[in-house]
Amino acid sequence: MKVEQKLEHNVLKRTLIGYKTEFTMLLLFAVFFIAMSFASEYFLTQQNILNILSQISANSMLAIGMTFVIITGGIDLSVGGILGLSGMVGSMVLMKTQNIPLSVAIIFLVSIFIGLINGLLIGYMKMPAFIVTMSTCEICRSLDYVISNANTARGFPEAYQLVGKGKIGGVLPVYVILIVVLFGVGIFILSRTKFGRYTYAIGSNAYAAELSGINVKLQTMLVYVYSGFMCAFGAWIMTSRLMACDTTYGNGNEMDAIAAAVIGGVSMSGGKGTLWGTFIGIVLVGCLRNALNLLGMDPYWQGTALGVVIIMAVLAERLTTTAKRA
Amino acid sequence: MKKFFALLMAALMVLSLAGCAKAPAEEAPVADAPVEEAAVAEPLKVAYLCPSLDVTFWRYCRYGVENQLKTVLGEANVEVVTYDSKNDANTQLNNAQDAITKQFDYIVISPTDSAACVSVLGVAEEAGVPVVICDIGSDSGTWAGMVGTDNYGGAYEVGEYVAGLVEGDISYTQVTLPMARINGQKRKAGFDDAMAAAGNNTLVDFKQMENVDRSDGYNYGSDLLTAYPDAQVVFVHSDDPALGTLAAAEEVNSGVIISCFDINMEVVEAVKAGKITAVGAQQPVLMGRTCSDMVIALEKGEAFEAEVYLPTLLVTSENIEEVYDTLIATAMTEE
Repeated sequence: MKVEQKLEHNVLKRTLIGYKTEFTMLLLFAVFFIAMSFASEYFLTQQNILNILSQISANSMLAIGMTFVIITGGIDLSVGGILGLSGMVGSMVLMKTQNIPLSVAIIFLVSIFIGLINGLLIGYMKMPAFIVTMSTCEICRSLDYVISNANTARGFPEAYQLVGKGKIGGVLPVYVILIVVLFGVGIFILSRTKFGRYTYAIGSNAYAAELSGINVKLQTMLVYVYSGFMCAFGAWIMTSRLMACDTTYGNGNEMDAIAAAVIGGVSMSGGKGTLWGTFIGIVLVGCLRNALNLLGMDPYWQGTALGVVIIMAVLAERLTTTAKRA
Repeated sequence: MKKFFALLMAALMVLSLAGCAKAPAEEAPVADAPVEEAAVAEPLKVAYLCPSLDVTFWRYCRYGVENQLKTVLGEANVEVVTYDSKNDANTQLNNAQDAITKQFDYIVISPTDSAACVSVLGVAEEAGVPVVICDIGSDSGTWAGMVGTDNYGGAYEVGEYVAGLVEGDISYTQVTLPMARINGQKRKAGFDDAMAAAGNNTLVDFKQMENVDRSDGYNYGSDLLTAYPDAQVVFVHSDDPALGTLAAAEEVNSGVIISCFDINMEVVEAVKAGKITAVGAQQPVLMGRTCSDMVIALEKGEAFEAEVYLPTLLVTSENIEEVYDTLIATAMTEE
């Protein structure tokens, strides 16, 4: 009996140590959540919780892909651009054909294709991820204007709003299901598959990973393809939510995705982090934005407040980690 | 680690308690609030969804919306909050959802674009919140009121004035808004039609801006001045870009006549100095005020004209002193 208790205790201890950052951020999130529920009577309402989930739905898709990329020690600055371009191409096809499956397929094809280009250049050509993805982002933005001639794509069939606005049984929004399922799949891949282990291995030490027989080039490429794949979900949700697409869509979304991952404890130097943390991060960012609006904060000050809170959150996490090490 | 775990659990417990405490707190007023308190009127809550507070034009609109509500209803009787969409349709929809959650009675919106406005109108209609649109317009959906500007008429008036200043055939250029925007199409058509009506005048080229800022005006303006040094007139579709084009013209000592749409204090100074010849000034403060008047009429159940298109003010080097006070009152106050 005592042995069993000791084993259980060890499992719990290992879990707590393994997810220390995530628990710290969860604690901070809980404090913030409690404070907000007292500060605004509207914060802890069912409608507002759904609003927050709706507002983070597209960015959470980008954050999933970004987490994989950052764990390899890379960065993907093109996710906003990919979202914008694939959304625009798909929307224009939809506008012209009114064919939803075709349009969604195009969104995925474009996103995966750009992810593949990123992956080839970074994985096989050994080009710096920062430069490659920044450049592909620029290309995407430019092509966005070229193919749309700066026009807004609009006039979608009603059924297209299923993913962005639809509710199963009139209660459960489809985007909530997507968030849960895709985070679940991501968590499974990262923690239970070879793909996930290789991703961590490359981020920890790419040279050692190569020596141990991992095809680093292929794995790196596949991670960027996966990031592109997740951008497609983001584009699909965003265009469905807004039932339109213009050239500004996706502008700056990469910053929210990176912030979510970093807040959630994903190390920018690679090899460390989980999607649990990213989930807490993206919800925290979403709650913050929502809270600033509910509290009626002057729009000019919102960026400052958001930036300060993010720095404080990450700093608190780092200090906790350092204290524990000491 | 034990301490940390304990802290975490404590936080989660407080969270649970807070969650539990919420329901009775919402029910409390029914049982406890005195009848007198219940009878006191709540202030009218109006949200203004602004496309971008970076742009002076929208700040003028914001002032018009806020000031009119506070002036007519009294500061204590109205709560008006401005949300910045940061030129992003997604942020705009997020802000609309937040405003609806916060139980605003009315929304005044200057949309980021007319297509994305439809989503905002949809969520507002679902929540039963009436919407008044300030400029840009919406592709579809239901709104309670709409205030815009006569873009075609304003540009026509500027074209007519400028054409009267030049003898003989005129070759001219335009630095335009993106032609995807209806207001851009109308401004271009208005100026072109005025030029065509005035004689055998030719549009030699036009450039569409992307960001509609001073940098765009400078870059496209200098390109046009270089490519068409003989063009006598340039019409710029917005105020800040016009200042960019003016800087480009001054750099090469060009004598081109610069005219534009929209106005700000720097443009006023340029008009006074004779550097910008004519301006079709929209009246954003008045537009904001008119939207607020619609909200007030809705609240009082009074009848009002649901679609209003305000004229522009023609501002020239000759009449700037005469129209200055009107300009400040209807077009250029932000605080």
